[in-house]
This record gives sequence, structure tokens and C-alpha cells, in this order.
Amino acid sequence: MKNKNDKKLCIQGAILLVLLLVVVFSGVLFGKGDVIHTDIMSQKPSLQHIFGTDPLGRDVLSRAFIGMRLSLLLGFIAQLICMAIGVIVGCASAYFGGILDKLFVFLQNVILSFPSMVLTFCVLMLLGNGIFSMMVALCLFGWLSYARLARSQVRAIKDANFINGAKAVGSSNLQIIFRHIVPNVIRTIIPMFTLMIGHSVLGIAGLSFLGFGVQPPHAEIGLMIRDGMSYIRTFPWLFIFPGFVLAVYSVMLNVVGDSLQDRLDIHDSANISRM
Amino acid sequence: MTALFVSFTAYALLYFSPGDPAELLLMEKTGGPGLQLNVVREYAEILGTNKGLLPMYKNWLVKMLQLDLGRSYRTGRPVWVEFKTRFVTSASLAVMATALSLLIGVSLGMLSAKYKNRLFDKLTRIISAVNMSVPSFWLAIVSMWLFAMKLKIAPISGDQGFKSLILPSCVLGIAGSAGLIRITRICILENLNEEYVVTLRAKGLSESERFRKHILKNISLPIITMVTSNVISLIGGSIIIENIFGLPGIGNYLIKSIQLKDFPVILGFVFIMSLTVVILNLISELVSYALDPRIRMEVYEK
Amino acid sequence: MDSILELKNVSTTFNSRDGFVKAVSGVDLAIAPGEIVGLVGETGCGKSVLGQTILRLTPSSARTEGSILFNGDELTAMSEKQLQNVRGREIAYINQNPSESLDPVMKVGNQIVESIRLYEKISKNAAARKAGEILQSLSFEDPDAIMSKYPVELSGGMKQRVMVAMAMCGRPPFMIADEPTKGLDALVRGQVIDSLRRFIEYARCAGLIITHDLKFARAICDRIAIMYAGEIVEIAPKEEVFSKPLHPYLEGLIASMPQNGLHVLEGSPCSLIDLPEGCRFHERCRYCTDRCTRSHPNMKALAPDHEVRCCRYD
Repeated sequence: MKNKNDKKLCIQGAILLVLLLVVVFSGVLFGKGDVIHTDIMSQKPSLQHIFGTDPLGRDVLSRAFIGMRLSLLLGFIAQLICMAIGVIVGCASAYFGGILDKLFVFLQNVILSFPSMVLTFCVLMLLGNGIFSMMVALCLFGWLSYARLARSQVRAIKDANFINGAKAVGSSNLQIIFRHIVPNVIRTIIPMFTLMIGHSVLGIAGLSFLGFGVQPPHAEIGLMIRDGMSYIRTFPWLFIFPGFVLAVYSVMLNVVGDSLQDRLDIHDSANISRM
Repeated sequence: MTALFVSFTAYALLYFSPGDPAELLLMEKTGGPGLQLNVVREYAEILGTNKGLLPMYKNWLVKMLQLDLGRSYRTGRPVWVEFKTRFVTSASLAVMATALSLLIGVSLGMLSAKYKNRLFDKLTRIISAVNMSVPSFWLAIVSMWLFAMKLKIAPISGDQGFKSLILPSCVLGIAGSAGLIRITRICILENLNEEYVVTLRAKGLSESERFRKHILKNISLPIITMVTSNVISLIGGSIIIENIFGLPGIGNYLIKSIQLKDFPVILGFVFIMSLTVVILNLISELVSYALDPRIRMEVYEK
Repeated sequence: MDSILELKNVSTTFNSRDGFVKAVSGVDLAIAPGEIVGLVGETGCGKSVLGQTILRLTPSSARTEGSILFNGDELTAMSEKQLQNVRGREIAYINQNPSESLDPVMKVGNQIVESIRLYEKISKNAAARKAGEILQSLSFEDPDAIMSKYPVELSGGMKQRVMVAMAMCGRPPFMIADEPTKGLDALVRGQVIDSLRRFIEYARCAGLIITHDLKFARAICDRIAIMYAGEIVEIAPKEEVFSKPLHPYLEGLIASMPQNGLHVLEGSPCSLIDLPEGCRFHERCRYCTDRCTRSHPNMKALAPDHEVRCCRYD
């Protein structure tokens, strides 16, 4: 049974890896994407241009992957920051307990009660449009899931009997942290990270779509979709394909993240109800 | 009960404080383009921002409680009126979407559990996984293109009353059903493995009797929790959807207000929406309290 | 003497993550009307599975062979629907682990009422009254209060007695109780034993009591069957079980009782997946001979009511 799941995970991981590689090397594969060919403007999908071309004669396929690159990069960075903050806060809160912990729980409850979308807009409004403010807004809410997970892991282990056993035998605090707590936390955080990248990529695309995040002339998938929307009657391929590319990446990220979680047997019931 | 009430007050109180620095910051920001300086001053006076922090809270709070949310910069009408006129659209969208997602989600989840690991189940789970990952705004545009333009089934513009709500609520409903399918399926399967089901079988209850009389009640709590979280994300998600479909709802208006920096509207709407979320959470907690005796025991033990 | 329940060569197997489990192998058992038979063995010997097999309450992956006759009717040949009529009404099954065996979101009273109304056509109010009476007869001091409580509000012993009450409702001619005293302290155990006695009195039923507790079995059963590794290795009237134990395993069990000095029985129960050759007990048996490792003994009657499965008596 375990072998079947492992095989599945490998296949999914491989697909994701290929996708990621395409994106990473999209510069080499596709060029910068803003080469304008005035002679092939707005062409329907064909063998030469599988996704067609846009009104400026640019190949949609190449632009889509290049746009993906920015979204993925930003998503990755955002999640990295969230993970760093979240894990530190969560671990500290759980390990030291007391007022710090209570404060965290309180903060968590407060943040959770807000419609994150709405407040994201508020922050964006405050800080103006642009990549920086978008990242801030995303990070503001993103760290919470990591903190929660880290905290629950640390708490579970901290109270587990074998820690007391270790203390009884004389291990120092630091040893306990590194030998027991850290591996466990890493084990659960990594799959979550993979999953959350998917979420933040979607979030970035969505915000850019609305005009709040990445601004032109940067190539970003959300922007492309929005631009494409204005041609909905005439050149539908301009929004269908970029969105499709985004969907594919998002699906693969989620699927791999999910499989990783399954593999490592982690199912936080809070996660289930959240999703 | 007391715990719930205390947390509610805490939420509400803490809610107000971010709003306050926001105002100050806004003030700071608009201090730049001198154009709006007198507006800011007027605003400051109206809200008494030139006083200290605490009196400002009190002021705002008092005004809010009196349902006085100020007036829109753009139209000059009271914010509350703007909200009310658009509320129906957004609310109907939310209700329809939730109903649809419940219908699809729970029934597919049930069927999925019943035919566990057969083709139907596997297909449903794959579609569900894709559903959860696909960007909803893209799906919305695609469906608009497909159904409104190509196939001409649904209306395109957003002002045809009920008819123009069909397509967006379908999109939202399908998006929301993913989580419900998953949780319904998981809960049913978990419950079927519980010891009490053996007791029920031993009593002589048939499969449908067991499901109707016992399992249904046991899964209703997680399902309600999921529905609540769906509704809350709808509040945010509808913003995008309304934008795409051009629906005259709260979300759409909010975006325009943000773009035009119509502060009273923004603050007022955000406040109402956040309050709604708090209330929804509260309702959800009350419902769990009412439905599950084990939660009641936990509260008592505090 | 016509048996009310007769098992002939019953075997139950199922697939698990670790392999193919032979939980029950070739069990023969006949229980007369009004007779209480105890099924005693260590955890994991298959006794619970046997109890479940009778009413087909085993997980769907389980396969059962052999014949199970109840009042002359072949239970293994019945459809699920026919079996539903037998469950609870003719044969009552009291699940082990009462903490998890009650619907957590339904009031205890309603669960008893549900049982009552399954077996007779009476109104909800009448059923509620009857439920109260049954609870009272089981020494519950305030039946109405108990009925309005949820399972989470009751203690382990109370839940167990509620399970007994639910089983009593149908006044069934036969009952199966799976580990009714597991995890309960001595005082509560006494209450549960008492409840079971009243059940038997009320319904005039025969029964199969599954337990690991020899002392408990002695208190309530007429005959006791000892089970090891999925087989019955000895069966005798209760007093003979203690006065004339024949099977080495039984000897070991008796010696390990607290009052006899808590002598440890060496080794651990054999796995139901990798069954040893020959006699299944030979690895732990102090009388083990070469023959025991090769030939598998059958049940042999050494006295009219006393059978044993051991190479020494073959």
C-alpha cells in the first residue's frame, strides 16, 4: 500500500518539477517575452503559436510562462517570510508558554475573525499599489497558519512523555529542541509550505488581476488575464490560456502538497475545516 | 456562554483599534496631495480625530452604534444608504451560492462516501481537488465567456436582476462545494468506523436508518463549520466576482471606492463586513455549542 | 436437549494491513436455552471476533465459514435484512468499550427508546416510561435524570449499564456481551455483574459472555470455554474449570490470578497471522513434547461435559 502512494507522489513531484524547471528556464526558452512582432498580431492559436498571439504580436505561450515565473517567485518569497515568522512565533509561543502563548491565541482569534480579503484591500489602500504592499498584505495573514501548526506540534511534543524522559536523563533544553522538536516541526511545515505556495500564487494573481498588485509592464499571469478580459469577445484565447497555465501550476502545487501531507500522515483537523 | 460573550466583546473592541491608526495614516497620506487637505480637516473634525486616541474610539464607537457611518465623498449620500441599496444583490448572491454549494457538496460527498474507492469516488475527488486549486476569477471569466457569450444562455451585463445572478452564483457555488464534498466524505467515513455504529447495527437498524437517524446528526457540526467558513470567504471572494460580472453589489462598490479613495465608504463597509464575520463566527460557535454535547462539557469544565 | 445456538466448525478470516488473519478457526459450540456460557481468553485471541461473527457484525472484509444455527435457523444463510430482524430482537449484542459505543450526540434516553420502539409498536411516551422502568431495575437511582443526559456526561460504569438496558429492551432469548467489565474498577464491576444478572432474569435468556476475567466468568456463567489463538481449547462447567483444569493454558490462567499468586505465564499470545505448526499453544507449554510441534490436536471429551484440545489427552 505504501509503495503505491509513494509512486503516486513521485509522479506528481516529477510533473511539478518539470513545470518549475520550465518556469525557471523560461528566460532561456522563451526570451523576455516583450518582443513585438507587428506582423502577427492577435492570431488565433496555431501550430507555430500554440496559445496564439496578443495584440502586440507577442506569443501568448511564452508570455504565460514568463508571467508564471514572477507569480511563483513572489509567492515563494511571501511564503518563505510567512513561514519564518510563523514558525518562530509558533515555536516560541508553545515552548515558553505563559503569557506569550495566551497572547498568541488571542491574536490568532482576532485575526481569524476578519475577512482577510477585505483587510488586504485596506492595507493595499494604505500602502498604495505595487508589489511591495501586496507582499506585506499577503504576509500579514499568511504567517498565522504556520504559527498555528508549529505551535500545535511543539505543544504535542513538549508534553509528550518522552521529553520528560529525556529531561530525566539529563538532556539540556537545547538538545531537546534540536533532537526532538525541530525534526518534527520541519516534517509538518514543509508540506504545508508547498500547499501554501499554491495559495499565495493564486492570491498574487488575483490581486494583480484586480489591479492592486503587480503593475504593468511586468509580466504577471493575473495581469495577463485581466488584459485578456478586455478582448473577451474578440480574442478569447488571450485570457483562457494564461488562466489555464495558472490553473495547472496551482493544481500541481496543491496536489503535491496534499500528497506530501498524506505521506507524512499529517491531517490537522483545523486544516480540514479551513479548506 | 460567558466565555463566548467575553470573546465577542474582545473581538469587537480590538476591531476598532486597527481602524483608528488607519484613519490617522490615511490622514497622513492625504496630507501629501494638498488638494484634499481641507477635506481631511473636515473629516478630522467630524470624527474628532484632533482629540486623543481613546476619545476617538469612543466617538466612533458611539456613532457606529447609532448607525451613523458618515457620508460618501463621491455621492454625498449616507454610507448606510449606499450599503443598503447594494446589500440585496450581494446577499442574494451569497445565499444562492451557499445553497448551491451545500446541495452539490453534501450530496456528492455522501455519494462519494457510499461508493468509496470506486470510479465515482475517485473521479469526484480528482475534480474536487482541481476545483479547489483553480483560480476562481479565471473560472468566472471562462464561464462568462462560455455561457454568456458563446452559448448565450445567461445574460452578460449585471443589471438584469435575478437572471444575472445565476451564472455568478453557479461559479461561486461550485467553488464552495469542493470543501464540502471533502469534509462530508471524510466525516461520513470516519463515523462509519466508530464503535457506536456497531452498536447501531447490533440493534438491528438498517443502513439507511443508521444514516438518517444517527450519522447525519454527527456530521452536521463539521459541515456547518465548513459552511460558515465558506460564507466568510464568500464575503471576500464576491468582491472579485462582482467586479467581473459587473454586479451592483457591495464588493464592486467597495473596489470603486478604494480606487477613488472614498474613505467613509471604505471604512464603513469594512466595518460592516468585519462585524458580519464576527457575528457569523459567533453564530457558528453557538450552533456547535447547541449541537454537540461534548463541546458543552468542555465549556462547563472551564 | 435442543440448543438455542449451535456453532459448527465456524471460522472467520480477514485481510489486514499486516497479512491474512485467521481470527477464528473451527469453533464448535452448543448453548442450551437459559444457559450462560463464558468465553475466556487473552486479548487478541479472537473471542470478540467470534461474538461479532454470530451476528455478522464483523467488518465487510471478513469471511466466515461454517454453520451458525439459531433456533434451527441458519444465520450465515440469511440476507442482511433477515439478519436485521434477528439482531437485537432475538439476539442482543452488547458492544465492548461503552465509552465509544453510544451515539455521542443523542440523549441516552432517546437511544434506549429507539431500541424499545424497534422491537414493539408503542408510542414514544410509553417507550420512555418503559425505559425508565428498565433503568430503575438496573439500580439507577434517578432514571429520568440519566435519560436526559448525553453519553459524555456519564461515567464508564453507567454507560455500560445503559448498554445492558438497551439490550434488555427486546427481551431477547439470547444475548452476547463483549468484555462488559473491561476497564472498570471493582465496585463498578459489581454493579455491572448485577445488571447482567437482572437482564438474564428478566429475559430468561441464554447468553455468551466474552471476557478475559476468569473470576467474572465464574460469577455469572454456567459453563466456561477457554479460547486460545482462535480455537476453543477447553470447555467445562464452571466449577470443573477451577477444580479440574486440563489444558496447560487454563492451568496457566488460573495460576496467574491474583489470589493464586500472580504466577506469570511465559511468552506472549501467538499471532493470528503466523500460526505455529502443530498445537498452537506448544511454544508456551511446559509439557510440550515433540508430538505437540507436529500434530494439531482436536477437541476430545474426557467427561460428558468436559472437552479439551491437547496432545496429552489424545
